[in-house]
Amino acid sequence: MISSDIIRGHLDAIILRMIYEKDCYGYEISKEIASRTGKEFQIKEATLYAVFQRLEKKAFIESYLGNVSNGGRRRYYSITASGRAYLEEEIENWHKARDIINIFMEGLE
Amino acid sequence: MSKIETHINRLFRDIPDSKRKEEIMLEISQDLSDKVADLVLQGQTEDEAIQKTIEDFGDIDDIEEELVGSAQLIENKNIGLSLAFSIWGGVIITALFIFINLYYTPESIWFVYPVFAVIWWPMSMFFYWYQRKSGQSIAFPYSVAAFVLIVGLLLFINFYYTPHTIWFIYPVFAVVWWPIATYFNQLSQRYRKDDFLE
Repeated sequence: MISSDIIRGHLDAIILRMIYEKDCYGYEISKEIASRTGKEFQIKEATLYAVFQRLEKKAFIESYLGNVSNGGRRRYYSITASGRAYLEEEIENWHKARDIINIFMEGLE
Repeated sequence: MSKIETHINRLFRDIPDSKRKEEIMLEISQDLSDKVADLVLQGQTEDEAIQKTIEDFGDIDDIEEELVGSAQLIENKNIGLSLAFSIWGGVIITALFIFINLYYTPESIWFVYPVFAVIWWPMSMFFYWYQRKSGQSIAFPYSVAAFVLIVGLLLFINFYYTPHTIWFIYPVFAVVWWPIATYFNQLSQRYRKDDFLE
């Protein structure tokens, strides 16, 4: 399992992407991230909920309580219009940065 | 209370209570219980599952920072309300004193003194509010505003009662050290910061 600053710098975008696909709750996201990366990257729950707080404060996501399921109600998150705009911007920034870094990181044996 | 809830309560012990905090604690214990149930389904014992869930959770500091941020936002809003109240209160009290003065004793002007006292209230609230909002030190601007206020009062006393003798510059000389001191203190702090950055 890697823990890199590069990933940490894009956690907001990674989690926004998951919420962009469909409304989901915290544990669902951490499960999905682990399974998509083949457990190469696992997010700590403490970090995840801190990101939720931050994104909600910036009005990139909204939360609501879902229906009652085994003994409790789950809090779901959905993306807002400004959240979508921010995600698009972040993806564009990432492409630019990736191209620049590739110039120096690729092509060596 | 389940072991997970006990653990979450312990983690959040030092964070000031708020509605937000309660919501998050509820959300986290719900999600973590799901995780424990999943791990048990995958064949771990309940104790192992709880142990692993607690280990995976990580450091509370991240959440704390964000929670304190939310709390501060609310507090700043309250300070804004106090500021509005102090301004309205100041205006009403000032108007009352001017009315009493001019209506009952128009031959002598004295409303300046109570107004001078009252004005510190909204003025101080304003600077406090500004400091919280901008995060900058208000020592220098506050001392300048206070200096102007005091000099204004001295000018009034001097020219209203003894217009032929100018004495106000002596107390002004004493008061002017206040803004000068805060100004140079601010400068020296800025230099110290620059040194540190280099």
